[in-house]
Amino acid sequence: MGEAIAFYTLAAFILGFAVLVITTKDTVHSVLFLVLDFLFVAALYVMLNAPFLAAIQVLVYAGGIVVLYLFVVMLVNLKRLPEAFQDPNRHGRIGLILSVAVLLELAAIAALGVGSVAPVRTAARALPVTGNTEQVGWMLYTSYLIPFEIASMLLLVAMIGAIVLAKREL
Amino acid sequence: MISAYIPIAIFVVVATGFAIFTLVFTSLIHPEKYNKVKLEPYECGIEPATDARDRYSIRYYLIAMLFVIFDVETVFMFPWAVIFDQLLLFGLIEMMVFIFILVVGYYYAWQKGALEWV
Amino acid sequence: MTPLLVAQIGLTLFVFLMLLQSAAVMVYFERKLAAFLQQRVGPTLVGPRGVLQPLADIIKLMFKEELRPGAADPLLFALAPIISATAAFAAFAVVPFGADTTFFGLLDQPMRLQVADVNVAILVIFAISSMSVYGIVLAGWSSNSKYSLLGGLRSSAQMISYELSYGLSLAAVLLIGNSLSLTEIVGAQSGTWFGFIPRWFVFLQPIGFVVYMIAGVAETNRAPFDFPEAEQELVAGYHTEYSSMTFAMFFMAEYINMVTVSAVATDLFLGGWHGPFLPESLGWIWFLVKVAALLFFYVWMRWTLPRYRYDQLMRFGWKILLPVAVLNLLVTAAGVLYFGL
Repeated sequence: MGEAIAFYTLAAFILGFAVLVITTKDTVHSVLFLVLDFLFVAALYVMLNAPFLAAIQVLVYAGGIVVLYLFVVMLVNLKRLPEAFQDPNRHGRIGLILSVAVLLELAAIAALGVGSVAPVRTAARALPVTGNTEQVGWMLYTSYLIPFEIASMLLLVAMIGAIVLAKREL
Repeated sequence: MISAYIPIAIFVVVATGFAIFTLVFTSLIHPEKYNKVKLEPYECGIEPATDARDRYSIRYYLIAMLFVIFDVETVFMFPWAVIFDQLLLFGLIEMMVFIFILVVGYYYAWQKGALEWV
Repeated sequence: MTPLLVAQIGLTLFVFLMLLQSAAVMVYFERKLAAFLQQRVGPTLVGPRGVLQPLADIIKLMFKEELRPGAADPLLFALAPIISATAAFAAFAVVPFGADTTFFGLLDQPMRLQVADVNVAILVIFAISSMSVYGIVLAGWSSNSKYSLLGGLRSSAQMISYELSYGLSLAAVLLIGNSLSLTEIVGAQSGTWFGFIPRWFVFLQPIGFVVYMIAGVAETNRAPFDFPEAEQELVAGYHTEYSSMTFAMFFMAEYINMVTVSAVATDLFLGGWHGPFLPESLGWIWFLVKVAALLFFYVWMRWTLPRYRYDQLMRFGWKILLPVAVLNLLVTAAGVLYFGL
């Protein structure tokens, strides 16, 4: 009961801030609402007994990626609205199609994915380590070793991409 | 387990409440005599000619971008370090491979001057 | 209301008040020490030997007019000092500062001297310290003043650059401590080697400790890395436009951050509340002594070393400190593998 109340309160905050992110006119305010949104998502992770994920959510999303957003927003500093947004209906149709597609995707995941949750839980119980962080580490560095190494390739590509984008004459 | 995190939330609420209370309370007791000059930003006594929010160096963006990438790398270190006593040599080798791939990118950034500020 | 719950609430309030007054104590301590290092006398007039000077400062600031530039963003301008203060307080919530105690038998079961006893304390500290960049960058942006904007940008770039080395030096301690809980890491540092060298992690992690302290000084924006408020170039950096109590909030946040960095360093590297002569129940005295020593080091450094140049700072952070921190981590892992801890 208490858990349900906590969940719906957090979910209401998350959705509320998400709406504020896209409706606020001032881009810096909008980025700040995004930070708040991420913090509440982190609280949700804590409630789901995943403190490691919660810390990562704050560290990487709220503390890293949003700082990057803030730098970009402050750098381009939109004093007037871009022209594409003068006609509010211009992107309406594409937006509608995209949102329906995402909705269908989520429905498909919800419908087909329910059965596959249980085996993961039993696998987690069989791990030789206790504690959320330790279990995440164990899964990552034994079963998911290849994705972990591929992640470093992704980071390498991202790093080179960022440097190429930012520096014209090198 | 979740209950261990509630004191952090309480602490955050108390700290925020204290800050807001102090600021509101002092705003009630201090004088308020505004004139036009007080509304100007400080610029050593010269009237500001342009808006402060001008474009600034792209390097700040580059630093933030590199930070996000290395931050993710750092995050991978934490669960690895905690269970290192069970992974042992296998863990050391896989982390060496992971870091080696990133060092390639780090070397590229160094050579391209992305880590220089001038 | 069990006695344990009452004790927990009391402890929370106590820690909050101690942090609050630690800022005042640090103001006096810093001014006196700076005066000593420069062969002056420092504050002497308010109270005996000037001990009431911080109180006088606060009362003066409370009655000062609060100015805000006309073109500032009112919401963000008001929010920035609040974010700074909150982030500074919140990080201390997971720092343990003494052994489990029953308060001289008042409680039937021992309680931990820590506001929030979480098992991922190190991650929480790292995450909250990554939040404190917002107070500074928003203060700089919302003021709509050139000095503030430059100070805020410089400082945020500096903080995120040094955060990486900070995190990596924490990870090296996790390797030898085998836990994310600060209490367990302190527990692993009890006892001695060969009967006289204390089992502090600073002896296993000398490079890690140096990296941690350098990154910690840069994270708290203190000299020789005090670029956000490099007075000669940027007036007062991100808080140029702040006055009255909003200015005091930033000031207080800086001192509380220093206390937190020192307290975490004590727990991770200097054996926390373990020390000779005193029984375990009075270990918090050792903890305070160690924190005070680190804070002395902080102030000493500020009044001895000149400020770096900004490009030197960024080069040092990215080209020296970061590779050293990564190498330290790998060497530590190899050492753990070879010697087996």
